Amino acid sequence: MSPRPTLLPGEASFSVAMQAAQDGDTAAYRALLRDCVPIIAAMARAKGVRGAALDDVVQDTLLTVHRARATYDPARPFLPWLRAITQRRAIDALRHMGRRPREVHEPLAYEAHADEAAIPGDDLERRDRAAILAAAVAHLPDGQREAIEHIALRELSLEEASALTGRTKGALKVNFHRGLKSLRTLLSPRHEGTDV
Amino acid sequence: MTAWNEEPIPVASRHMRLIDALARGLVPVRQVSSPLQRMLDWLRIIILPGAGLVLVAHLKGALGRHAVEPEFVLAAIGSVATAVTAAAAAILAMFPDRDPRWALLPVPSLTLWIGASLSGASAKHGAPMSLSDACTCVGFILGLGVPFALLLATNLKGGYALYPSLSGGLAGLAAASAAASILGLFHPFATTLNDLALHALAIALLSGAGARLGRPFLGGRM
Repeated sequence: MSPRPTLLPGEASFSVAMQAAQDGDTAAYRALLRDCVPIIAAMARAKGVRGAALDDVVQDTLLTVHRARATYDPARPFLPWLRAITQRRAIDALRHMGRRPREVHEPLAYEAHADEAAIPGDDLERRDRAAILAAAVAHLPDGQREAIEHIALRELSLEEASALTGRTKGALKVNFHRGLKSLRTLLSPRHEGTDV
Repeated sequence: MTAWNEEPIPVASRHMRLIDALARGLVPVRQVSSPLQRMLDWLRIIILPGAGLVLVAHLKGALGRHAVEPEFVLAAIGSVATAVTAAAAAILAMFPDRDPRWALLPVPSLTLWIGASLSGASAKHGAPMSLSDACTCVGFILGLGVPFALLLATNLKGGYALYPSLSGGLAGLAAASAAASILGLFHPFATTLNDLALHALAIALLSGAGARLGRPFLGGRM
């Protein structure tokens, strides 16, 4: 077990800001999280996270910092606390990426492997679909729209969506299911040709 | 409308939007009590029913049995130490900046408990225990272990487990060890290997259930 770490010069400001955040100081919290973004990115990069996954790790870490903020002891240095959370989220991201096959080594399989690059016109079609969906979602009541945006489109968990919207998980679930039902109705073939 | 239907939103802007949303929803939080304080709280809670059961137990008989079987004295020490160290490890695991190697804290006492129990039980060659006795032992560990585990889980709330399954498993082990320690005072017959296997099964059940329920109850990947 490592001995109790000591505060590094400059780190005290993080500890003070986090303590203020625990007391509900919004401005200090916002400034702290902003300062943390490049640090989290650097820590995640050091664990081997690259590309778009790096931004996901930053987002996940910020959310975890928010949920775990009561566990921070201002008498202890802030950065090891942040590092432990970032490293865990980085490992989660790497595991998630590891579960998705990305390389094909067998010669035959390599030849038969579908090209994942976009085909001509694909981008245009994707934009059309997104526009139709956007219009349909815009027609939903606020609660349903928020639930669909956060849970289905941004793929946030109920906890994350709840933290972002301030709504309970139960309310989000109800709004999500109602939203899906409304979307099914709005996007069904008999609605084609309407304004949605 | 947001990131998914228009041009991709720059990464920095995504982070700033999240930060703004988190800051807007900020409410004051009370810093969670220290691991030592939490540990003492849990011990106080389980010592109360434990002490009550000791009062009704045939303590003299139990101590007499232990006096002639030194392995079981060691096993009893191991089980009590496992209950304490596993609870400490579970509590420490709820603080993200504590070394994850604290999870290994119960290993020496668990090794002592298992080794001494096996050594004591393998020396006995009595008749296999009856089904009703077996059910009583398992029922005792589960019956006392489940409320102990729930109390410990309540004590862990407010913390944040980066490894929720591990924390849950440790909490289950701590509760089961505490229940098994108290069972030692009531055990009316010498422990045989099949009896020991059933004790182990009950402890494994509680630890497994704790590990399984750790993720939904103790946080982790959101």
